[in-house]
Formats: sequence, C-alpha cells, structure tokens
Amino acid sequence: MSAPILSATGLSKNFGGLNAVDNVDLSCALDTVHAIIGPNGAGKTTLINLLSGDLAPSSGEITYRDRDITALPAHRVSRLGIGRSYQRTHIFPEFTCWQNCWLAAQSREPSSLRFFRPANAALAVRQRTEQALATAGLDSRADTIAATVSYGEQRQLEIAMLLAMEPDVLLLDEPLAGMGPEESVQVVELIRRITPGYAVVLIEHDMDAVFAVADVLTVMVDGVVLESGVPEMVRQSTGVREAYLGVGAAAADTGCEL
Amino acid sequence: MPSRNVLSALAVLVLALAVVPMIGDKYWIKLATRMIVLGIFAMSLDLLVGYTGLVSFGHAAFFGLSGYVLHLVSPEDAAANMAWALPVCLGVTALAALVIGALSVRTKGVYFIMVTLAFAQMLFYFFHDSDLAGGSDGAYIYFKPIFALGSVVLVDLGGSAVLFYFSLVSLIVLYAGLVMVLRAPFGKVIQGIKVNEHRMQALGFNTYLYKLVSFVIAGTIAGYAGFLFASIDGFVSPELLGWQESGIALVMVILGGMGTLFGPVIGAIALLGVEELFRDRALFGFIAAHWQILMGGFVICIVLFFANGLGGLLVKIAGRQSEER
Repeated sequence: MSAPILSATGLSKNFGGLNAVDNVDLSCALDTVHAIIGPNGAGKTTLINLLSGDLAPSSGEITYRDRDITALPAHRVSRLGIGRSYQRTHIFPEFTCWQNCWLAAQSREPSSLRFFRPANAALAVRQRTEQALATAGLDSRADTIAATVSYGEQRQLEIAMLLAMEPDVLLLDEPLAGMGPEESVQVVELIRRITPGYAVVLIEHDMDAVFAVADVLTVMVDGVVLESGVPEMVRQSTGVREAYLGVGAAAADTGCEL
Repeated sequence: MPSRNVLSALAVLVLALAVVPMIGDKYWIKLATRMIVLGIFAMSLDLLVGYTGLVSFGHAAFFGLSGYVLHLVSPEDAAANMAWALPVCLGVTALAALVIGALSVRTKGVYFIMVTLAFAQMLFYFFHDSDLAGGSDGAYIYFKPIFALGSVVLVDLGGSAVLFYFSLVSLIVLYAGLVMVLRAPFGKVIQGIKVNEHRMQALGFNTYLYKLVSFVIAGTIAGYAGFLFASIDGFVSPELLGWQESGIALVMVILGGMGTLFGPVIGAIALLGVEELFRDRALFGFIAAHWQILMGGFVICIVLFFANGLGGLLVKIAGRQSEER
C-alpha cells in the first residue's frame, strides 16, 4: 500500500458534553477503499464532516498531501481535491444529468464570470463532464431530466458529479442508502471500478457491500475507533464481535443491517 | 433558447409592432413605445425573478433613478447628447444597483423582498421630498436626448417614430444579449443558484458574487428602460420609483411567464393593451371608468388558467404546431 494522502490524528469533536468523535486516527491511501462501519450514532458522519471541512474539529489534526488542512473551510477543502457525497440525494432535479455534471465540472474553473461564449463551448469542462458521466455509467442518461431517472441512477449521478470535480479523495457517506439490492450491486461495482486513482473513504451500513470493496475497515462505536485493519482481521476480532456484531452472531455474513 | 416555432411567433409579434408608426397616429406610437420600454424593464426583472431566484420588489428604483439622472444632466435649453448622457445614466444606475445589491443579496426569500422594497422607497422619498428635481410634482426634460457626432445629429429621440424604432431595436439587442448570457457559464451558474443555492455553495461557487452580478446587470438594464421611458413624455415623477411601479413590473413578469425573458415582454404588451381595451367607452360603457376591476379579473384568469403565463401559452401552442407537422 502506498503512503497515505489523507490522514487524521487525534481527531475529536465535542457537541456540548457529547464526544461525537473521540481521539480518532485514520489514514487513507490512493487506490484503496477505507470503509468505516458502526452503529447509528457512532460518529461516522461527524467524522466525514470533519474531514470535508463542513465541521471544525475540537482538537486533532488533518493532513492532506503533507499539508495541514485542519482549519480550512469546506469550499477550500473541496477545491484542494477532497470531494464528498451526502447521505441524502443532493442533485439539481430539474436539470438534465449532463447539466448537473457540468455545474460540478465548472465549479473547478477559477471563475464563472463568463458572459459570452456558450457554456458547452469550453472543451476542458465539457470533457470532464462527459468523462464523469461515462465513468458513472450514465452516458445514456445525459439528456434526461435528473428528477425522472431512478433513485439508484440519481445516486450514481451524485458520484458522477463528485468525479467531475476531479478530486483524488472521495468521501462517500452511505452511497447505498435507500437502494434496492440490484441498484446496490451496480453502485458497489461502480465504487470498485473507480477506486484506482482515488483514495476512498466509505461509510456504509450494507455489510455485503463493505466486505466486497473495503481494503481497510475501521469500526467505530460511541465516537472511538474499536478496531482498524484489513477486513478479515477485523471480522475475526473478538472485541468487535462482542461489542458490535453481536456475540456469536455472524451478522456480517448474513448482511443484515446493523 | 426558445424553439424555432416560438422564435417565429416572436418575429411576427415584432413585425406587427414595427408597422405601428406607419399606420397609427402619435397616440398609438406612444402606446407601442411604452409597451416596448416596459417590456425591457420587465425582462430585466425576469433575470432576477425567473433565472436567479431573487424576487425583487424594488426594481423600479433603477428604472426611475435613471430617468431622474437624465433630467438632471439635460440642459434646459438644449438636448442632452446620448453619447455621454446614456453612459452617465447607466453608470449611476449600475452603481446604485451595486450598493443596494451588496446589502440586500445577503438576505433570502421574504427578507429580500422587504429589503429591496425598503431601498426603493428610500429613493422614492428622496426625490419626493427634496427640491432637487421638482419634488412630488416631478420634473420635465424639455428637450429629448439626441445622438450627435460633432454637430451632426444622427438620432433624435424627440421624434416619436424615431424613439419607437430605437426602443424596438434596443429590445431585440438586449433580448439577444440576455439569451447569450444565460447560455454562457455565468447564466448556468445563476440558474443553478435558483434551484439550490446551498448545493452550489457546496460545489465551491461563491453564490453571493454571482447573485450580486446578476442584480447589477438587471438593475442596469432597468436603468436603460428608465432612460427611454423618461424620453417618451419628457417627464419624470417620484411614482416611477415607487412600489406600485415595482409591483406592476412583477405583474408583467408573472402574467407573461417568468423564466422565459420574452414572456415578460408579452406580459407588458398585454397589460397595456388590455388596459387600453377596458378603458374604451364604446366597448365597456360605464364600466370603462372602473377598468381596474376588469383588469384584476383578467390577471386572475391568466394566472389561474395558464400557470406559465402568456409566454407559456405561446410555447405550448408553438409546441403543438410542431407536433402536428
């Protein structure tokens, strides 16, 4: 495994008396998927919010490519190359899929105060748009209004928008939430396909999906890291089995929601 | 960009307007000019309401301000030369839009409506209560603007037909310009802001900047319309900046169909045209004196039965025609 490009050390976030995230260390390298699992309220989404700059940590440090980004606001973090997707679908429903992706691609340009040439005339932005749609498997949907495509495709579109922003770190917050089994398989396949070239941090409840794509697995409970390592090792860990997967129960194997 | 059928329909409308000076007397030419100029005004408001998601209730501030600036820069015994008077009017309006916009674009929804209304009313009372330009009585522009190079007068807006054609060409050029801007990256970004501003911020767009630029463009075009409007009668009054004028512009936008640009122009033409009809004693008898009642009914009917306004109706008809082919 190559050196991590995104790492957090001693990361904590307190909301009043609650330690939502408590002294967490985490690192993610290119070409790998680092999955974070844990019961509801374990602090997974808070952790993503800290990494993306949407929340400022109470203490600890975040480093991206040897640069301290702990104090940077979300839009600066996003511009550096850390893209995130949201739990709830977050697209422009009345625009076509192409237009959705184009906005994401255009957001990487230094300025959009351009008044004269049509939006689709800028070659680089158009190529990024089309490339992202193609990677996400949505090229046939380019001219379809986003509100009218299936829910699974809307989640794919969200990932396409993320790709159009050309990040190298992808923070995916429950990309499979609310999907049927077939759609889930498609998106898992998509995550696997795009991982080369990216460092992916994945929060997911779907255990089949997690074990299918994760290279590194971190288990969080009550804001602290219970166990972290290669998935097989984590699965065997007695601490995790007792505290999280349930004593003796092979919940991970049955793929039930935890 | 509207479809080819819609563009053809619009071309027919422009041609129908263009023959007015050839067949009508001065009264009809003035009426048609007012339709076009208020159409430009409403179109500029559509950039905010229909494309940026900013419902301004103070858009007349820029319309009236520009008219007042024209009065102030016009000599009493000669015509002002547009070569410098127009840039001055537009510059002052743009500056006012920049200042008002910088403070009001931070707010959202109903607060934005209130803040823009408050700024416009401040300007209204400034001109209403001060002796600068006739106070509540208003003020005259004795000589309409001309466009002259040296001593050669190329355009004299004092001629009603000249003013009419000048306004019509302005409308077409401004419409084409706005269509271009809306197809360019800037236009796509403001339309994204209208749909979901928060998401645009998450993508990394500085939405405040884009909304402000849109506000300044719309205000400046409203100022252009105000310059022409003041030239129609050669008279400005505080009412040009008042909330009623802003309200009428909003009615034109909604009546014509927001988010279409050409719709609000149709809205302006319809509103003035229907007013003319309802005031006709021969047609409506004693009710003609109370034409506002009929007008209210007309606006309610359009809004109830044609959700996308008259512009939306046109698109629908044009769409059906193309299907039949």
